[in-house]
Amino acid sequence: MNLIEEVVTGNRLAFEQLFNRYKERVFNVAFSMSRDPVEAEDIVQEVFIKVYKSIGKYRGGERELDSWLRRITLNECVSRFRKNGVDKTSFEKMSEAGYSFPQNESFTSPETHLMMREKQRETRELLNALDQKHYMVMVLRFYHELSYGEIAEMLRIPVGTVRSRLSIAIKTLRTMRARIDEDEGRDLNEGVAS
Amino acid sequence: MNCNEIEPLMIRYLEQDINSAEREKIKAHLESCPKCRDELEALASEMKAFREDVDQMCDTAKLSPDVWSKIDERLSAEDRSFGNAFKRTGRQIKTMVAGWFTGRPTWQVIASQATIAILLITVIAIAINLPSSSGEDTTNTKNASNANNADNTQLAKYSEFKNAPNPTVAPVIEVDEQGNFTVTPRELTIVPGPAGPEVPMGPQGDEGIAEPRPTITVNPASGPPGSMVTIGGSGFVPSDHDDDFAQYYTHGSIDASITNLSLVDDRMIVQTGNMNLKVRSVAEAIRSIQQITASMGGYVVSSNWEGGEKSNSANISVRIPTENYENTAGSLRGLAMEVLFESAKADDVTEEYTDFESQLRNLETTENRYLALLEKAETVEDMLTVEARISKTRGQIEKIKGQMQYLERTSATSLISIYLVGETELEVDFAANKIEIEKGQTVRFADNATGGSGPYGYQWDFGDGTVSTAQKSVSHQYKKTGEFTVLLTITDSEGDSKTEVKNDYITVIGDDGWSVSDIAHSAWDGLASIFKVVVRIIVWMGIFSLIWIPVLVIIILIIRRLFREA
Repeated sequence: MNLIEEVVTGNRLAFEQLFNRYKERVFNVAFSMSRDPVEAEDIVQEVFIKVYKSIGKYRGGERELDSWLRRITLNECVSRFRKNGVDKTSFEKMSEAGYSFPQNESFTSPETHLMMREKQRETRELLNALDQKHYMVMVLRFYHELSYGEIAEMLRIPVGTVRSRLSIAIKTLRTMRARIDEDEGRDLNEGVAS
Repeated sequence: MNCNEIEPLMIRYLEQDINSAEREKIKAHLESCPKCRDELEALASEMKAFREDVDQMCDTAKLSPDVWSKIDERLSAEDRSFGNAFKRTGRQIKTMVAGWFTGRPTWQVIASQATIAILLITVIAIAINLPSSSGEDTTNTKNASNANNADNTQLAKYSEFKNAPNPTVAPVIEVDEQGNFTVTPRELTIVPGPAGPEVPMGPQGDEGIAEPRPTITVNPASGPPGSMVTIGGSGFVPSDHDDDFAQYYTHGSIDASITNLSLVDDRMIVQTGNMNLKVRSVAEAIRSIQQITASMGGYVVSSNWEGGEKSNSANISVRIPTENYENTAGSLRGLAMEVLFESAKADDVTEEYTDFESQLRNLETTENRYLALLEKAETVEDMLTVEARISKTRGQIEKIKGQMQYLERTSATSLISIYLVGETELEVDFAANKIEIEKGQTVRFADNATGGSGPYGYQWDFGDGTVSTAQKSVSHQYKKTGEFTVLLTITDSEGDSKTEVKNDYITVIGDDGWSVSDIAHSAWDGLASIFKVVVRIIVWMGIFSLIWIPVLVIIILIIRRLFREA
């Protein structure tokens, strides 16, 4: 019996093995979509519980399991967004939950440490400039590489809307990036001045 | 095409989401217009950069290690429901049966077939022996108490663990005439109590490295009166047992004989508790909880009594100083007629807190550095830029301080959420499956009691001089004709009792004494029950087709013999 068949019969140990094998990938997809570690973790839970319940209906082999899981995760993310309609940026959510970003473990001097954190912060700032509905289209297209038709179907919006959201998102990112780079440039000049 | 027309089409051009005619036009324009070429370049790099940004963002977050245990818990909760267990068994049988037809007669297939054969034979045997009408059929439902079993075991483990004798060697404090004290032994090694594996010790053989045993150190071990004594702990590992450790550490007080010392608890524990209490009156319980909370130095966070006086349940959450947690929980338990559920959880946030501390230190160093720079600044412009950086750093410092304060606040007080359910009045009712019968027939009565507090005590009076204390449902045969009044008295565990009387409820018709029809009736009944058994056997054998093989073989043998003889 292979792993999937074991899980179908309700073998919890086999399921744990499956979980450990795919958890990082599922979390990555969930986090890329939600931008919020707490939410992403909820999604991971939800996804694996769905998998456990519906694996009896799964007809593919272990090779296709990866894309099956990805599909389930994406659908879960999208349906969550549709249900909550939350359009808070994840950063706000996170400071509410008192969440602290994990840091690099290895020791670095305070300066490099700060610089690294600064870089991370900038990336977050950039990505958070998009609201969820624009971000989602963007990430589905350029990170998960779904076609326009697939995105439209998943979000239940016309293909035209996908196009317009993408164009708005790309323009927003461009302006935002330009602004951040400008800040950075000023910082560098300060360094020289002092 | 000019630049303005091209601009909105650029993304579609890059994505190749455009018809060939337009494509050619854009291409032509791009060759002649460097401005648009740059623009296109910028858009393309933006798309590429986005992917990298998301990748980078994903690197910053990690899945916390306890997700599996959460999933496992939820799945276990679902497994306990009957419907799911049924479904899963169905799936197991399905895969097994599928195995039969793949044509590989492995031992598993043979074993499963044999199991089913044995099962079916047992079922047939039971079916044959089953009496056609069951007589005294008493069913005792304990489902309600079983439902909480799992939670109760957890609770039991927790309290066992809490009361484990730690440390096994109690320190002794000697105080001489001048008031000098000595603590012996100075170091205590904590040996796990009977709760065993719950107590955080070295790794459970996973890595095979022996960790140091948890140790409590008293410092200084001796000194003059009035000295500060610190009791510290070390070797409380591994970190993935942090929750256990927290409980262990806070509850494992050194010994009662050290009256003036207590553990210097430098761990920050956020303690939360949940309780479901069954109470006589919700209103009264809410008042009592308010009093208890106030007397323990806490306050009510929220109180939600939907529907007010009419409703029979309420939610109330209180915050109390962490050191009074056990006392409060005890008083709350005292309020209840029954504690339906209780759980306590302690989260160790020390690590998080120290993390913040080090971040804070880093930021403060940075700030000081900027301050030094500010002193050296000569031009107004320099001063302004440095000041801007200082205020930015200040902002970060304030944010971290806020988070630290939040942790301090939540660990200083514990949150207890209480769900109250009021007792409802005992109501008794019952019903019979038929109210008009012929003499000698059996009536089945079923109770329908609600409220009060279980378990109930039953007293049935059938009106013909017989009584029964059978529970829930009961069958009774009436041997006399007439109209009978039936009574059911229920006494609950609190001693409250109620009686439901149904006057002339059962009518029994038919004449007394022997008659031909009686005899014919019973003879018919006998025949019918034999017939029923035969039908059942055939039905069961029909379901289990394998048994037909030997049956057919036997029939064929008999027929052949008959033919040969003929």
